[in-house]
Amino acid sequence: MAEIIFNEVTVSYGDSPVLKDLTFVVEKEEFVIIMGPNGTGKTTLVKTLLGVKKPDKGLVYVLGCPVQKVCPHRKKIGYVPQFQSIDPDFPATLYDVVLTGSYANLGYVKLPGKEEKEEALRLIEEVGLKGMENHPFGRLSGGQQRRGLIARALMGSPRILVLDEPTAGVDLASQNQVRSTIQEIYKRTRIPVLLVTHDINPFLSLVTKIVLLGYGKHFVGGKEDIIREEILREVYGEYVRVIEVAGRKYVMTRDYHYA
Amino acid sequence: MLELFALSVIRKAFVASVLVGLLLPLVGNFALMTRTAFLGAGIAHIAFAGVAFGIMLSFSPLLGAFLFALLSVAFIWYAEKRNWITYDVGMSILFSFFMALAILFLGLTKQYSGEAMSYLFGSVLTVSTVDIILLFITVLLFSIFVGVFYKELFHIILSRDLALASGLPVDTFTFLMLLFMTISVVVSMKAVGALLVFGLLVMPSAAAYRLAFRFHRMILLSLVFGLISSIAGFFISLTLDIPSGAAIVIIAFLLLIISFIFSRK
Repeated sequence: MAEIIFNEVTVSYGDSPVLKDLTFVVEKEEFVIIMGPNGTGKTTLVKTLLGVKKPDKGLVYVLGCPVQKVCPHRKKIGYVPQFQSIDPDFPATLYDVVLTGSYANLGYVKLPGKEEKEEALRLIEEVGLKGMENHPFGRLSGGQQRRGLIARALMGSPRILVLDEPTAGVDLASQNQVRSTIQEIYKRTRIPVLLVTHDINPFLSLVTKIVLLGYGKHFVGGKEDIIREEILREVYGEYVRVIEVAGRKYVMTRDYHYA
Repeated sequence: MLELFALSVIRKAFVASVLVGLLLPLVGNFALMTRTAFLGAGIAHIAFAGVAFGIMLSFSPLLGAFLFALLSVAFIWYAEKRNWITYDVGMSILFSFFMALAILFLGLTKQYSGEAMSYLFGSVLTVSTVDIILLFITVLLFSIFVGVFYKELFHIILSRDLALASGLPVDTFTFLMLLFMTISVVVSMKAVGALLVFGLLVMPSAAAYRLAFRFHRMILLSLVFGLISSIAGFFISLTLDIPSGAAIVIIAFLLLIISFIFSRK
């Protein structure tokens, strides 16, 4: 059975459907990009996958378990949420935040033990933040916070990694570090990755599937099916171009400044 | 000074001060971190309307306070959950409405009520054994709640989204926190006063927030500040013969100023 199945899923806010009859599957070792303009339901898709938002229609299965029912699938999903500003003085260290990734597996009452604490330190090192364990989380740069949250998501060896716009709102150097971290983790673990992003070019070499969400329509397929001007223009408009350099495709917007 | 402890009223007042000094800062940490601290002020004023209602109809003012405060908080929690209104707007409306009711009820009560004033301004010397038992039970239950669910509460404070994604029943925990805040404010009103209870709820935890880099240390520091405020305030009020609630809150404010001076944040 596939790791994730969305079968004719419709999700609405009030009377307005955000996702309509969406169907796709994610197999083992797949790297899936969820893309589309703002407000087309990317985060809603993630919330539905996590069981936080209930679909009006259709079924969602994660690791063989329907998310609408009580099942332990959430413990097996590593989740990096969309950027949220955190007070620089928030009383928690990077280590404290990473350790919260073990809480779902521990259940109620039980506190993190030696194993979880060692895992947190190992993952902090793995995302390149060794030596910053005791830094206040809110004082880390945006990129460091994202990498910290990726380490958090990897606690307990998840079977699926879901990242919601992990490179949004950080500077170019930090974007590069976050991208490299994601790429390295995927190459090492080969767990299925669902990445919500507008920043698709750096990931196109890894992508096995793209879910392209538009207003009232969606496209699902491999990158050869989706990274085409006629498809992208149906969703983004006429400004999108696909260029090929040294055998690799890049999605660009047409620049009229120097036309 | 110590010979005064031979009097049971002084012993009761001291125990009540210590319990309030522990309870309100403990609750205050969570109120501060979830940005619901203003609810504490609102609850105290809504509860005061309940006190006035009880006095007007000659039944237990404390029961009236519980009734008004719990119903209001349950309504605000539900309204926020349904996206009808935010906590601060909901509480601002009810705060004002219930103060209007309190004034109305006291106006309809033909005689002067010293008891109402003791709830409004606080008088630790008027606390009864029942008040102390209620305070003790609340401190005990809330401490157990925080001890058992510390990591769940920390998770919600850190990020509601992450807590939800982990499968935590965030709404239930939020409701329980509001319930404990409501009960804590109501049982502390007689000792500190409806007007001043907010100070002891917020100031020790705000001072601890300036100094602590980890949440469990913030909790411990807030308890230390709460205890210093309530015990020092108690003795100062006895020595200088000034209202206890005012003395306690002034000490808490001074500690907050000191924490700003020594903060490394």
